[in-house]
Amino acid sequence: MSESGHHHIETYTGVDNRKFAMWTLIASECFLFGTLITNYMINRDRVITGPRAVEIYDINLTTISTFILLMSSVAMVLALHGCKEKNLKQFRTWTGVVILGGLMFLGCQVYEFTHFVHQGLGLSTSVFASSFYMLTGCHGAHVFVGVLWQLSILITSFKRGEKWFEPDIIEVAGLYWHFVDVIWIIIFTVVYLITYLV
Amino acid sequence: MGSTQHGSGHSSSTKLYWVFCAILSFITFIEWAALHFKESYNLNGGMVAAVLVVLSLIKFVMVVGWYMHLRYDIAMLKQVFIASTILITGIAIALVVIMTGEKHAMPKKATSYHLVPDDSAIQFG
Repeated sequence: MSESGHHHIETYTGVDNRKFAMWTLIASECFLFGTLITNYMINRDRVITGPRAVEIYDINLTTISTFILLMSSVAMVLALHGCKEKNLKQFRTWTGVVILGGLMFLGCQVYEFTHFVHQGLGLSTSVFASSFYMLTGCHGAHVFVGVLWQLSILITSFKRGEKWFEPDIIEVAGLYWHFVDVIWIIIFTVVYLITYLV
Repeated sequence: MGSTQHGSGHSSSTKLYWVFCAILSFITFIEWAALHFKESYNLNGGMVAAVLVVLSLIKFVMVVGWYMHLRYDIAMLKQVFIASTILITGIAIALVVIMTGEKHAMPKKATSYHLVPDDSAIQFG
């Protein structure tokens, strides 16, 4: 693989195989999160013990975490732009912002889960609780993996120095990060907002 | 076979990304405010929910189309993503309708329960 990343690869599809593989992964992840969201929608009212959703959700905190994740998505696209423009400082800065945003989002989730447990909503308290923690926990795990990925990219950038510009790799990592954000957009509406409306 | 290339139509300016950032932030604020307006103005919950779903769809399209650059990519990638999205959405809606419909259709007797004296189990009857 060339250091500059500016090379054309002949593929059957006309698209970098890694990029095609990531879109295929994203398509399969649609099914994963789709089933988890469906499971939550079906079981959100199944509460025998413990608090109900409307009694426990903190919309203000969730809105803030949603905003943080959206901003990290903006940072991701700016990091990719910096990589394509061979602007190392811009690339590293915005990648750092992506990592920071991801960590802040995870921090909000950890705080939320801890608060819920103290309120009496444990993992097995009710079917609603299990559905909620499975969905949001799975998403949180995806965010964590994304943070690790971005961290590895940032570290590699420092180790390889100014010769390392791989927009194809950054684009694939960016697709994963944006998808994680897209899933949260759906979860925020379906899990948190609609609970108070329907 | 074809050589890989970045999708056509991509702008080298970051201005568009910042514009979308502002729009996404504004929509998120509207979604948060909608809950408070619903209580203050006694709006219909179903209608507000429908508006929120539409707003989420807008955010979804913006992130997928522009941030993920799917708008500028080849048709095959679009087909892979859109087909899976449509399929899972259809399955989800069908399952929710069927399962929640079954729950509401169940006779009251089947959903009643009581705790045994030592709280060791829940019996349905």
